[in-house]
Amino acid sequence: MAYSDKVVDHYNSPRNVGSFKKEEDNVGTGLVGAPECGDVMKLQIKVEDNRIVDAKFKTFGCGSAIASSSLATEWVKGKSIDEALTIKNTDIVEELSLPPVKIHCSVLAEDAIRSAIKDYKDRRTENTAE
Amino acid sequence: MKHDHLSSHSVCLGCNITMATPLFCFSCNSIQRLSTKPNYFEIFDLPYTYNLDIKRLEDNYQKLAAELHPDFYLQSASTEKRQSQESSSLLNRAYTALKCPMSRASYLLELLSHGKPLDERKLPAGFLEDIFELQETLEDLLVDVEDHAEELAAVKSDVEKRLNALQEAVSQLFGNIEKDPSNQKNIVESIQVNLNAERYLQRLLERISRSNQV
Repeated sequence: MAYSDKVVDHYNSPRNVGSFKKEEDNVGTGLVGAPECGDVMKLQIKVEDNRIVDAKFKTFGCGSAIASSSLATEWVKGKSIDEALTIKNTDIVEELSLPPVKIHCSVLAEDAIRSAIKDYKDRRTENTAE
Repeated sequence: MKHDHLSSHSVCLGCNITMATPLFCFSCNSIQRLSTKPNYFEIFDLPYTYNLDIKRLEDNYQKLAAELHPDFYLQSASTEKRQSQESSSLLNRAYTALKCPMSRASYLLELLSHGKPLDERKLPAGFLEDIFELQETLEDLLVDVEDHAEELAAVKSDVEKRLNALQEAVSQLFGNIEKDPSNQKNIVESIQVNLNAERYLQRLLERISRSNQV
């Protein structure tokens, strides 16, 4: 099975690889795994005034998983939290022309975005409660 | 699911004798026509259990494979010819599924949960964080495999230890079902969580062994 040009491009030059300190107040961290293949994906967002100003990822997995998370960081940057929550795995499938066997990689990326946003929100509520 | 460790036995369509396996009658040496899909354990005349007698599995596999091989049915009627192909492939699937502890556990869970889907995502608390850290460690070590041979071996043995611990836990949990069938649903869920975790560790081991081949 051949990867699409876009997958190859993200795989060869992944955008926004790296990490933020997860303790920082305005950082949200999502760590998710794909049971089908044992891939692990970490996606982090940095939020200012309810807007995602920066995003980083690190993924251990196949080319499609790396491309999906790389694309996800590109897409969330500059979006408000609510806008970022509207990103669907099917958008990623379409953009990267993922074949059916690789759809779970895009699901993983959507889960990672959601779980990073949830982590950010949870930690903010904790902080305001203090 | 039966807990008496006895599989139900089929009766030969030719000579009416109770057979050890639904695939073949060793009494009148005839291949059996299968109308329903037999249970993998019944194929090998084994009890429904995780702690399997592997030697018996292998012996019975060899015995059956020798009888069912399509080469012996080249001159037979077309129904028998087809049956030998179907039974041989079923035999191989059953053998592969029962031989490996992980797939054997999955198959047993499938039987125990009556086909109801189990949560394949749930993991022990903190497990994914551990895996991510191990992957990061590996990434650094794999930059120069020869330089880090010792550290790689240490990571490998750590992962193997974790895997063994999980398999040990799975084995105990299956034992618990037999002791306390009323708690079966909860135990099945715990086993599934352990199996989910095993898959990630397996993946790490594959990554390490690939690096050694380079």
